[in-house]
Amino acid sequence: MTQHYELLYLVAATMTEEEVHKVREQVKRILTKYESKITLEESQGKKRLAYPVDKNHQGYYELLEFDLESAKLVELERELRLSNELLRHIVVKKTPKTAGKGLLKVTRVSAKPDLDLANQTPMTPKIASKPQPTAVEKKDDSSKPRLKLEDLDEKLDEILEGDIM
Amino acid sequence: MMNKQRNSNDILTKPKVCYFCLNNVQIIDYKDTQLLRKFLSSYSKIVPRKRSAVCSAHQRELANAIKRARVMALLPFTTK
Repeated sequence: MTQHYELLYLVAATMTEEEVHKVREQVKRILTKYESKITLEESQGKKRLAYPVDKNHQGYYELLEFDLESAKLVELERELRLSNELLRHIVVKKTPKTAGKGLLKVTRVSAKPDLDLANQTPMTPKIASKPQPTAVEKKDDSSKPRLKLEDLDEKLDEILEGDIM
Repeated sequence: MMNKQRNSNDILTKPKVCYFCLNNVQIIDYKDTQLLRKFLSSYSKIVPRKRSAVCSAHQRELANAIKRARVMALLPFTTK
């Protein structure tokens, strides 16, 4: 059975752009050897690694998408693992092809409106009991601190992220 | 009693809705490190559901995505 796969591999940044190009060609050759059809090719560029890999602190990330007979995957992975140029690689099943979007995006749509309702429901009885203008004012008051809290949370997240870096 | 406690905590806690359900995300991409970092603690541990309010189905997907990203050196296993 043919499956759609995604391959991400990591090449050391000590290589020159030219050498990386060679590696790219080599990987593609391996893929075609196993009769896979490449549907997408993307260089993610030079990135700082989260931890040193074989004393490399930076690396080029290269992304490929392809269709492959699933029985051949084991052999393909073996060959990739044996090639010295790749520091890391990962092959993952890719369900919706990147070209054909919007297949799975239909199911749960109304999550956001639900949340808004949840925020407003405690307010509604008060609005009903009081004359309208004051009720509107009250609504504004209550919505402001909520927004601020969200901003605060976001800021906190940013600070925490900063710590990680 | 329980209700009262919950109300007082409301100020501190985020709204209890899963981020991925809210944004209608079906597949969590392990390459999206900016997003995944939001679900890591300051020690780069995966944040528990209790704190991140992610639903169980998405937490499982998220954990897999983070682990994949770690293998590819996109995310750290630990920091300090």
